[in-house]
Formats: sequence, structure tokens, C-alpha cells
Amino acid sequence: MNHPLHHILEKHLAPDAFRWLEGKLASLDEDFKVRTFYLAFGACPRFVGKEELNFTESELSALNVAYPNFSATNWSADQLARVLFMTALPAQDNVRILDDLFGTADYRELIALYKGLYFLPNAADFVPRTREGLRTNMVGVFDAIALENPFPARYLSEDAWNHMVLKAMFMDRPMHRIYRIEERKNAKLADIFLDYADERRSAHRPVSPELWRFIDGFLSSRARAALELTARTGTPLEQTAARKALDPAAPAPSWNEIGRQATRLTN
Amino acid sequence: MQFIDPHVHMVSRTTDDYEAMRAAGVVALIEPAFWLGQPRTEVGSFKDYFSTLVGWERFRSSQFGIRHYCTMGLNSKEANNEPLAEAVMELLPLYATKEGVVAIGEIGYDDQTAAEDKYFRLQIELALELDLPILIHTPHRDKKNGTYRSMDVLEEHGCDPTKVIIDHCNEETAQEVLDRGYWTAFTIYPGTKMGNERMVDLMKHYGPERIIVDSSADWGISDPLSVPKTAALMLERGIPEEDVRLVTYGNALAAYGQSGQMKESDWTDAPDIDRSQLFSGNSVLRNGRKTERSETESDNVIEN
Repeated sequence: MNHPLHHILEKHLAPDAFRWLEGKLASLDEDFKVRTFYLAFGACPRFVGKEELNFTESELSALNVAYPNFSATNWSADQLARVLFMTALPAQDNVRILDDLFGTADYRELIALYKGLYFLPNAADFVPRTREGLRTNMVGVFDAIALENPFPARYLSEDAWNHMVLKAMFMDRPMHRIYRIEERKNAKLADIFLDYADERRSAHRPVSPELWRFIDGFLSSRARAALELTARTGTPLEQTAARKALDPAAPAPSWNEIGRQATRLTN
Repeated sequence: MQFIDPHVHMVSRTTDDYEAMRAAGVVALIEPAFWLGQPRTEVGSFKDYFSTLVGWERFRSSQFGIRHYCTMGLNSKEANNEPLAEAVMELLPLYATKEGVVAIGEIGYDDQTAAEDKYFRLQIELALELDLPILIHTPHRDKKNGTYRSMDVLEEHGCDPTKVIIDHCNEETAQEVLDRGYWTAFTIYPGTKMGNERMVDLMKHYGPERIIVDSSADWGISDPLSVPKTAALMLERGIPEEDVRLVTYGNALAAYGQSGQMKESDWTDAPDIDRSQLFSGNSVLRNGRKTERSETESDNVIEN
């Protein structure tokens, strides 16, 4: 097997853990059986452990080529072993086989599955599955898709992307951790977020300072009015964010920095 | 004190229950797969139920700082629908090997029919194959015969009694279950099982060895605080704290820990409540609603 994850795991797993993994991969290669695949996938935490792996800079840059932004999240041994098993599936059958697995997966399996999709050669075939996954209310599963994962930015349509971003805001997720959040901003999303800000204000609920980054670049008169109100009456961080959107040329912290500060304030 | 409720059906309980359990000291619980109060008619209903046990319910529990484990099995009532039972048996290996599944259960007898016997035995074999503990549900009706017959069948299949928990025991069955070497569990559930004053008397008689207390709280009139309340009553009535700790924590951990899927460090090393994982709908924990409400505020105000 010649997958970048295979080489990495060989270096980072304990010898018997790697031998177990090799044994399972070899039996799948010789005589592929779905049941063998399901059982091996399920048994990963038991046989390879759940430790988070620490990679060198050069390993990370190699992995970032295969999977943009790989280095932005922690990866555990069982997670990467599970992803390696996913890549070992015959591509013509992997949608069907993985759909069944998604249907019966536990919490930790779901996270590995969604984080791993980008590694598949036919990742684009998993757009419906990813959209289904985004309907979850399990925060860890949502985060596995929405935060730092390169899949949504590359494969989701504008509507699907907008739904994901809105839901992330609704769930109080750190927006700055959505991969390529800046590049995929759009006018429709800006409008929806203005409505959302109005709704929050009518309900006497706070509006996240991160919301205004989606208005930056789409300054309608309505947007300007909402921003000016926030610049006058918001919390200090909301005011900073609103002023930045009103005057992008003025010196201000980056949107990611505002996002990090907002996350610190709510936790 | 910290408690484990080793038998509770949380899919039927509210977030108020989770909150009260955590406040009372419950740090971990086990949710055995059981029936839902009315029989299922499709295998897909089982699949979604099993998925809920290892997914959504595990997540829901974690939001309240309680570690959630489960057991997987086809319950005896629904084993009587044979075509359905066959399909569920095909599904079980997939779920029985998942993380956090600490036993095959709850299995055993309800009416003691031939079909119940058949699927009980098949599931004993599955537990032996996967080297998992077994949780036995003993029947409400004809309890003594049902309990003894369950143990006879387990022994016929060569089960090690130290890997089997016999649940819903009472004064009439306890001695035999203990004598034959099994973990002996009592369910504090008003009406159909027992109140906790009887449990205190049982403790005075038998001591703490291999005794386990649980709530089996579900969709009926039951109490998710059975375990902490019973511990408090035992202490009030002079049972030593170390013995109380065994029957409301230590013994369940020892019995189900044999699965390799449940360790004390799972909760002692975990953050109390992972606040970064809270969904915004669960403002209960985030805002400490109940403790922060001012005294002049009406009871009819619901938090925004």
C-alpha cells in the first residue's frame, strides 16, 4: 500500500499496532469482504489506541499537500487508521459501503468518517452524505465537517455552504475555524446574516462579533445602518468588528483575530 | 459521593433528569438496550435505536458531565417476533463491537417461550465469541423459575458467572444467585420491582460483596435518582460508607470493566463538562439558570 497515511502510521504506531493494521489491510487486499472491513474499522481504538499523534514539520507539510489544512486539527491513531481503511475500499463501491457504515456508526466513528472523506479519490461523490451529516446536533460531529476540514470549501455548492455557515453561527461555533471562510463569502449569505442579526436583536440576544465579517465587502444601505448601530451600542469587540466592516482600510485586528477573541469571551 | 447507575434507559428521560443525576453525583451510567414500551415491527427501528445508544444519547449525556455506556442485545419480549428477531441478530455483531458497549444485554426470559430461549442462547454464544460480559433481565412473572432457568442455561453454555450480572433480583432469588457466583443486581423501582428500604435490609443481611444497585428508570413511573437516594438511605441507616460505595459504584465498575470498554479514568481524567461542545439549545448549563434566578422573579419566567 502506498498511501501517505500508511508511511506516517508506520513511523508513529507501536510495532504491534502497526502489524495489526498491516494484517487487516493485507486480508482486505487479498479477499475483500465488507464484514472484515466493518469489523476492522470498528476495532481500531482497541488495537491501535486513541493517542493523539505528534508529527514533525516535514511530515505535516507532506500531509498538507494530500489534505489541505491537515495540520490545523489533532489526529488520533485510531482516526488515521480508520481513514486509511476508508482509502483501502474499492472506489466504485465506497459510497455504498460507507453509507451503511455511516448509518450504524458511533460518535467517534462518525468524526473519523467525516474528517477522512477528503482523502478519498472520489470525495466529490460524498456531497449528499456531508449535507446529511451537517444536519446533526452532535457538536463534535458537526465540527468534524465544518471546522478546519477542506471538504466543504472545495465541494459544497453555494447554498449548501451557506446553510453550513449559518448553522455554525447558530450553534456558536468558532467561525474563523471554517476553512476558506473568507474566500467563500457571498452576497446572499451577507443578506441572510443581516436578517439573523435583526432577529437576534428583536429577541434581546447578543449578536456574535464574528457575524460582521460576512457583511464586510457587501455594504448595502441596510448593512451600513446595522453596522452603525452596532458601532455605537455594541460591546467593545462588537464595535471593533462593526467599524472594521464599515471601513476595511482603517487599522484593525484581522477577522480571525476578532474570531479568536470572541471565542475566548464566550468560553 | 460519586455514583454509577449501571442500568437506566435515558432515551426516555429529560434533560432535567440528567441535570439532577449529575447534581446528585452520578458520574457514569449504563443504558441497556431494551424495548420501548411498545413492540417494534421493523428491523430499521432497532438499527436507529442502537445507533442512538452509541451516538446521540452518548453525546446528550456528555453535555451533563456523565459518561454514557450501553449494552447491546435483543430483549426477550421482542424475541417472540421471530422474523424480526432473525434480522436483529444479523445487526447485533455490528453494534456489539462498538466502543463503550460493555455487555450483551439485557437478555433472558419474559414469558419463557421457545423463541425467547432460542435467542437467549444465540446471544450467550455471541457474548462468548466477543468475550463480553452478559446482563440478564429476570422476568417479572414466575421470577424464581425464570431466574434459576437463566442461570442453568448460562452454565450449560459454559459461562463464567463472574462475567454475568443477574438483574432485578429480590429477596426470593438473591441467595441462589449469590451462591452460584454471579453479580447480583437489585433494581430500585417503585411498584413492579422494589423500594429502597428493602434494599437497606438486604444489605444488612448480605453485605456488599457482588451486590449492585440500579434504577432501571425508563418510560414508566420510576426514579433516575434511585442509586444516590438509596446510598443516602443506607448511610442514614448505618451501613458503612465503604460498603455503600461498593454497591453504588465499585462493583458495577468491576463487573462491566471486564469488557475493557469502561475505565474509571474515562471520567476522572475527563473535563467535568466540555463547554466547547455545548449546543446553544442547552443554555441550562451555560447560564446556570436555576442558581442565578433572583428571588423576586416569577416562577413562570422561562429563560430566553
